[in-house]
Amino acid sequence: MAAEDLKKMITLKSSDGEEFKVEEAVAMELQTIRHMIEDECADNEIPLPNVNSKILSKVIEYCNKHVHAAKPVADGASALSPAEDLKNWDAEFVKVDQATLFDLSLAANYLDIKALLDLTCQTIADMIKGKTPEEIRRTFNIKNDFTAEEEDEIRRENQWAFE
Amino acid sequence: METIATTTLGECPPWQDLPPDLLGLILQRVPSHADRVHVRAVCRSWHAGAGLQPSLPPLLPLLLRRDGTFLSLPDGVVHRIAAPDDVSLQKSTGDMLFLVHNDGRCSLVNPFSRETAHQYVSAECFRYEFNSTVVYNIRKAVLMPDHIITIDNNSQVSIQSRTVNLRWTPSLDIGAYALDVTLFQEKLYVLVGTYTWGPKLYVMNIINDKHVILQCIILSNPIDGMAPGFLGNMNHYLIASGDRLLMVKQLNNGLLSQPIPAKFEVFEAVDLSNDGARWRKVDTLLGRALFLSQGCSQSLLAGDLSFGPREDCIYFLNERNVKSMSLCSGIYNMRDGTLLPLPSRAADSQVAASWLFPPNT
Repeated sequence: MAAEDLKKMITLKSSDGEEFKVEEAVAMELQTIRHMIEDECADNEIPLPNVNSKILSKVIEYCNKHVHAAKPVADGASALSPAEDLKNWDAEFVKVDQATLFDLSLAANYLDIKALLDLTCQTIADMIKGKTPEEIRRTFNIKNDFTAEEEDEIRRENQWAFE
Repeated sequence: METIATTTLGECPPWQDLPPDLLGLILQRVPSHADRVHVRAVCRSWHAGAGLQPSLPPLLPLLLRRDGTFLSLPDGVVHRIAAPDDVSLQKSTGDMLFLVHNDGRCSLVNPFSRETAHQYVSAECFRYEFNSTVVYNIRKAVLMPDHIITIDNNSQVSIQSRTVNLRWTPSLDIGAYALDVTLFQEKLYVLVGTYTWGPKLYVMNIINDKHVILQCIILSNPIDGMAPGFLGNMNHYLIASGDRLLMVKQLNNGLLSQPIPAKFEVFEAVDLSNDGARWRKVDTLLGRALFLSQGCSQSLLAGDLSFGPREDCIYFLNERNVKSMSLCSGIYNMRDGTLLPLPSRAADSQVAASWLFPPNT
């Protein structure tokens, strides 16, 4: 591989017009973009009209970290394995407000970034497990829009889970 | 379905608008049946989104405890059900509960919706009084379209019609007793033990009321060291697993009255339709896990979930008192022979518990 290819940069453009230059290897983490690059129908600038700059920068931060995480630290300074380090980093990465978590999960889905999708969905699942429906609604500020009859029917189908 | 990701800082995101494919991924990651039910009950769009999912990966079944409550694994949450006061005995038949009331009436109840399916005939014949307490002598109940098959604590098989008050007990050979019974590919199979021979497999054909044909299919001893004669410190289970009929032998150490599970061996009944039916030892469950209890045993597909059924694992619950309560139940790994406790401490001391399998949510 020629030296120039190693440094090939792709420009990603957010919905609000901001441009982000990333290494091709990082851009390839976004499967939707990977297909475009491999099929050679991508310009060097790719517009992403469904993702704003705030979220896109988070996504790029995530992909950057994961692409470069495979390289071991030269001086072996960390007491943890690279895998554990990455896990801890991921845990910190998703400590964000709900709006960001919501947007990140949608972006990961739209951009087809499996690892980020797994991480965000697991985080949301952890916020749901062990809670009653009312507690889930309170956590996520969701309105109960069932009619009384609908709610009765749902409880009846699985009474055991509501006792 | 793409949603524009433009929530303003500080604003509450529209969680109810979570796209169905994301909701599906989240549903796969909540660890219990109750969690899955709760997600569907949050709001209309989540209910609709959950309904769009193809079937979700399997979860561990519930544990039906002696007091009629359900224990969920791995979270260990106990679900208390408002049960009728007059229930003397509850048996899991898989996804239904066979109840015997104090007055001897039987009913079949869907434990998840509490819908009472049918009122059946009397369990009078199983009743006996012990120290002025009434006890119903049923170890296992298997549902068939027109009949209920029961094994009592004396290891006799009985057939009860679901429509008329008729019950009879086909006689096994002298000295023979029923170890287990199961439905497999719409036929009824009975595993029979004797004091002098290895377990035999019978197929039971119910012709009409009062007429049944018991045909012995596997007479010979299985290969691989099943010592004939000594059926002592073992438990046997007959279980349908995918398209295989399996016999599981649980070998115990310790006293007969206080067995300690040590090892499990699995055999497949092969060549059932030919004359040469026999047992063949197997060392894999072909992508499934087994859930064993005396009252109810079933197999489930294993999945990738860390909290779901694991491949080639046998999850067992014991009926009899064991020396150490923590060995009452556990997980036996067929690949390396290790024994682990069930994933919740609450499961440890559950004597006489059985498995209950919710419909795939």
